[in-house]
Amino acid sequence: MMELVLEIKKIPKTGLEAETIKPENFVNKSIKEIEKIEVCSGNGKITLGSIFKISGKTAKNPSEQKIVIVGDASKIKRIGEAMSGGEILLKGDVGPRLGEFMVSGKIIVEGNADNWIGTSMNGGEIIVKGNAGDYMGSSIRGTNRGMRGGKILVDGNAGGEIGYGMVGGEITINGTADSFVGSYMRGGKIVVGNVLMNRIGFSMNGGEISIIDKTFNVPFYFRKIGEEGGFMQYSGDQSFDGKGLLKVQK
Amino acid sequence: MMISDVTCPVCGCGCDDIRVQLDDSKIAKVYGVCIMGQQKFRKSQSPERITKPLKKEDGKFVEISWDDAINEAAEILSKASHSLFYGWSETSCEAMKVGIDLAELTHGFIDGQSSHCHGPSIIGEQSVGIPSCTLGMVMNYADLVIYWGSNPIESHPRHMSRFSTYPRGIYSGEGRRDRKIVVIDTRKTLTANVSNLFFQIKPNSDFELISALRMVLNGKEIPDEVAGLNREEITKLADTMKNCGYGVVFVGLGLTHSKGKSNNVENLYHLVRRLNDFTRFNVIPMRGHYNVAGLNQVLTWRTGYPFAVDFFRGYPCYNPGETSVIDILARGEVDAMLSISSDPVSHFPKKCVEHLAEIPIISMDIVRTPTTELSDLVIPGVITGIDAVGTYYRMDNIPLIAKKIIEPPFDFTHSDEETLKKIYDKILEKKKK
Repeated sequence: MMELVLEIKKIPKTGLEAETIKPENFVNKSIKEIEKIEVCSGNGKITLGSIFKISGKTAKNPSEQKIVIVGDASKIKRIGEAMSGGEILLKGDVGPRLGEFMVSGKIIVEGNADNWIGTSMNGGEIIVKGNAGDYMGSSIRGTNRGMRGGKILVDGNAGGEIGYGMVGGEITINGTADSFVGSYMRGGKIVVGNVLMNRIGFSMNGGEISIIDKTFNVPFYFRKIGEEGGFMQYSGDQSFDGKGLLKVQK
Repeated sequence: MMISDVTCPVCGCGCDDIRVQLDDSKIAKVYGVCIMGQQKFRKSQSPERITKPLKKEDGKFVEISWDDAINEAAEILSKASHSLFYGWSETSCEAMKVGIDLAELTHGFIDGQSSHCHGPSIIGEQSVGIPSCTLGMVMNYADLVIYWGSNPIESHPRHMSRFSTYPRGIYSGEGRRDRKIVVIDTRKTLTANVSNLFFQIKPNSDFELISALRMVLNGKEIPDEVAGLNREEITKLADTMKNCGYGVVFVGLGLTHSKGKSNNVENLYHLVRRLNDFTRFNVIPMRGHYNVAGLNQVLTWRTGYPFAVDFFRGYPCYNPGETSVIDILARGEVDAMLSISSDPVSHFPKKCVEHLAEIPIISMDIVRTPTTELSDLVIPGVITGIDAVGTYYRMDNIPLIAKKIIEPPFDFTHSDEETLKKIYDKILEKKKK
């Protein structure tokens, strides 16, 4: 895999919207050409060359391209939007809307990630080694079709409204998530350590949520249906006869 | 001289039956208005009114000419790379229209108080849909009125007497005696004192209560206690809702800003939708400022989105949580602000105000507030409904015309719309150069 390193020099105060940072935009280009690629900042556009010190090699096709971003990218939004292959490695924190509509490939965040990671993603893999924000794997505003495929793994804790409207794919959170996990969920799978305020599966009508913490207090709008493989099984949301499945470790 | 049918420019009730007595082209007395309206009419004549443009030089305000003020405002906004246009809830829809043009011209960001007020209700409306009606229908038809997390006696003083509780409508002949008032709140408010049924719930447990009500309506078993209420109380509340002739829920900030926010409201809209299987039921958000609903209307009509619209790419972008005023200020993504008839410095979180202290602020207001003190430029505001004519939207999204009663205390501008139009033209002129 060919590695291209983007080292952050200085980010403007108004932040960056950088949906152009993804492997398929960098392949078959020289460093000079990459430096001329534009990103949005404030009401204007600036070039990648003015923000990053760029070094390394580019590949011939996207699946062989790896992008490494060094430094604090928490003011950069929309990295890897709709990316269709290759790999992005972020050495520090990252801003909102990482890997939105992602199709395939891999994104690794070594620091913390912000809100809206992998919203409406179709495939690929996102790994966050720190904490993640709200609305992970959920739908974008204006639709309630959330994540459709792919995988998200968070080592730390996550924010609220994870997997809103999720229809497929898999989310794993090793730590605790804030309330409202899997609202309007219709498919896919969420595995989470624990959920705050035991608000989970609001209007859930399919899919599966597993909770590892034995002390989790199952909300009253889930009905017990049995047990299997060391997990108690519940069905809900009962306030409208939803058919979601909630598993809690015994 | 007595002017009748004046529309009050304070809260979302939009009382349009006020009478104002003029004496020597000054307001002498105002009849039929609540205490909040009384204050607003009085403030319009107050010696504290800002009557001249002020510019901060070496930490002190100095008076400048009107043309210099417009030029200065245009200079700040055209230099900025991402400006914020915030406020709008206390001005006319016509001024909002120019405000949206300004945001589009400078590729800035426009948002109003609804972003941190009834924003969750609007997000709920977008994802679930809202079964709603007008306040006139409430007056004529409703026999069950539920105030959920709202306290109209203190926030909308004439709401109960004009629309929901006391008036005699077509099918509510006896007025108060024909209606049942239910209050659901975390503490015993003044409104709870005049209600027929009061349910005191635990703080932050509205979501659970709504889910329990939905389960009861679905014929499911609920636990002995939910949200601090026992099973009998919840069943009684569900029966009251199911068996009424025409019910309406007024949603306040108690629901939109307790834990769960938009989810609480979404759950309530699901409940109201389900109740329409048994009877006629509606929900109306208790909007605060008199034209806070207007910004949602005008923005939706002009851009397709109700609030939190960012034009930084030249076209409207909408994603509350990312492009909403609190988030954008907390991230420090704007570098100039035009605040119109609002006081963000008093109401925003510390982190946002810290950022505001670093950027140039232009404020258009009628009196000095913490925001004008932090501003670099203060432009005198005009009160729509007292000094200028304008359109605004009541809480049930009915447009009303606000009358002009007296002349503003200055002659360089006659409305906020005119002031903004001048700034717009000036920026356009600078761009062409």
